[in-house]
Amino acid sequence: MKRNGKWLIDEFLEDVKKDKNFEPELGELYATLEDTANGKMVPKNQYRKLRLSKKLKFGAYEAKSRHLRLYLIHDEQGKIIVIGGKKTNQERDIERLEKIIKEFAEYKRNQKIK
Amino acid sequence: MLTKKELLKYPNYLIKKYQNEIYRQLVDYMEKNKLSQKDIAKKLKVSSAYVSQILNGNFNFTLSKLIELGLLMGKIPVIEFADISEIENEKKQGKEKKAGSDISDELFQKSRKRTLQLKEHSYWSYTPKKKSYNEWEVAEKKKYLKLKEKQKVEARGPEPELTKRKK
Repeated sequence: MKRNGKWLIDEFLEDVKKDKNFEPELGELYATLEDTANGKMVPKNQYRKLRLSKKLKFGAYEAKSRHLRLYLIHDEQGKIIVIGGKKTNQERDIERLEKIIKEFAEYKRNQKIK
Repeated sequence: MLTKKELLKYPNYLIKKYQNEIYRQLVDYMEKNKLSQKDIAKKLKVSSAYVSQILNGNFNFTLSKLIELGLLMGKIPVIEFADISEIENEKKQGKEKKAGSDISDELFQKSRKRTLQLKEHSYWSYTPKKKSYNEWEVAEKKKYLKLKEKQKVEARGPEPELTKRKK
């Protein structure tokens, strides 16, 4: 997902790449994403559906490593990687994700009207 | 986003891939043979915490344990070393590495079948396509009444035999 011409996920990736403690964990996250994308089973503690409010129109998922999280939205066409974050900021990131989902739903609705 | 070339440089990427593969193999074996965590722990002569670590995708033990686990499942782990450039080329051409893909496909098909079956049988997910809702409701009521009748007949027990009157 893009905002102001920049992918939202890229902000997170750039941050993580600077930190040598967290950088290796990116590999883990990508491995779990790759497996799930190929329809392979993955342990529950690595990939799960988030329980957000029922008013939201799109389901949200979370890919996990020890310290890092990736958040995804389930669209009609497939899953979209939206944002990432650290474990310590999990609550804030989920709130941000909820806002993004609402914006995305509005954007979709407007597109259908057009 | 990271490219495949960049990803292959992370050891954690490959470790996680193999850990997940071992997890899938073990889950499949346990489902087929209806074994619990404790059973596996007994067979491997390890603690059940060890098995739960594997089932959480955290298998990072010795090579000998990997082979023991494989033999327990009636399989042999095949270790191959390929050049990074070869793997990159394979991925570019859209080829998937064969290791474990059959099993995960099987599991995927199984789970899909199961969800379809559940959809067929569950009351709430059933939506008649051709019939209107009222027709469907009437049909359901008829079915229900038939069932009730059957139950009544069963509760009554077998009918008494007819005997001829003696003149």
